[in-house]
Amino acid sequence: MAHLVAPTMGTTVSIDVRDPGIGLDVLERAVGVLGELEARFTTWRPDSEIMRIDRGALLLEDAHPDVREVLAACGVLRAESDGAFDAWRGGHLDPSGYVKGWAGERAADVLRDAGATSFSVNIGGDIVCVGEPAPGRPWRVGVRDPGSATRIVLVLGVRDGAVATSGLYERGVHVTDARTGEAPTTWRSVTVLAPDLGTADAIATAALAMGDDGPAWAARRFACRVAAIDGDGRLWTSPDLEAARVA
Amino acid sequence: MRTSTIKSLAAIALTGAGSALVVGFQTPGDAVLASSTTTAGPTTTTTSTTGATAGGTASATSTTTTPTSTSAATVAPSTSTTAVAAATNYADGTYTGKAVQEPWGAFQVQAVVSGGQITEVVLVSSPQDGHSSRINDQAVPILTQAAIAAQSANIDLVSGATWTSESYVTSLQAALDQAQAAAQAGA
Repeated sequence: MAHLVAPTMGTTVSIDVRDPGIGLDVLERAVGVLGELEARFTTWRPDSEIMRIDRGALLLEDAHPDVREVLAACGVLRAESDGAFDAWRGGHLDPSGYVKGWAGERAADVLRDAGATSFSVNIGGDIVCVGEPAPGRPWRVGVRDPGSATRIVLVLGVRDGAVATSGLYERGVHVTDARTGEAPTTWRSVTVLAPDLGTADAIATAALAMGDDGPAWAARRFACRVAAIDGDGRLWTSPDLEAARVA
Repeated sequence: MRTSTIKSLAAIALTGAGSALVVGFQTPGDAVLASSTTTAGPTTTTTSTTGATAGGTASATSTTTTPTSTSAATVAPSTSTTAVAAATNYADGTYTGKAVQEPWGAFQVQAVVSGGQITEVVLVSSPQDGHSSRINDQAVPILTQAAIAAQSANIDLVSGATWTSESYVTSLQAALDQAQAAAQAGA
């Protein structure tokens, strides 16, 4: 049983392992992996592989396999989202809408490989849940009200799955519809429950960016569970989300 | 150091859905259903200053942490599962985390533990330039909520887009390390 909180990827990761045999060293290894991925994918440092690809100083075929994997996945998501999610925006490469979640899964892999069967990884509010925190109950994931940090709008029970929320309530407007360059207005936050966090993260971002129909479209197109909260705090959920709700 | 003198008093709100107890800083527009807690037990005000930390670009800092260290980024390995269990890990009191130096000034939080639970996290000092104040104003309530919610019996985790401050986490963990050490010393 071990818990580690550390800064990573411009935010904070909290890893909570409930298996008795897993020590802190394993969690530290997982955080170390996140640090390596951050260095490779950051758009904040000109020497990262992403920035070198962006300015044409590195060919995709010469990039690290991780980079090729991420950009291939982003390409698939771009096609499947009809362009609402696009790692190339405004002529620049920025796959961070997918990378953070994907990296969370990589960190989870470190824990799985060490034999952990009951843990969560929370990177800045995007979450991977594995197993049960205690026998017989799921991880209870609260989704906050975008208008108030002190209010939880709904609680999802998650055993094996990922929850990502994309919202407009922090960092100012950082989501734009890749097709129009405009900021969405209807939804203040979109939460997606999906099998893996990279996908959940990208879909949540795309659904938010698409505006009015985004959450319903995402639920249909990707067969994932979606909750969206508007500027007045009203909640919309896809029909099958209710099955995952515990409060 | 009394928390009531701090500029941003924390408030406790009992939420509707899930009946989760969360704590956030009072901001205009947020309903305050009950106000702050009393503090029992010893008060520890230890301050130590670390070297400068890079804001925004920090990579993992905990790879050399050992289970027995007092690294700010580490919640002790014995930290356990539920709020009930966690209650045994912190001794009641007010604990001041270390001041973490940012390029624009120091960032420091204070954690209040009551009944073995974190009940308040108070910003003791924050950098004064406009940009980081804005970030802190936004990040601190979310971080506080996450810290409180994570130990709630009803909620294990909080999902939401977050603008988190590494300095907040560093300072808070230092405070919680003290709370845990105090509990172990008393056990």
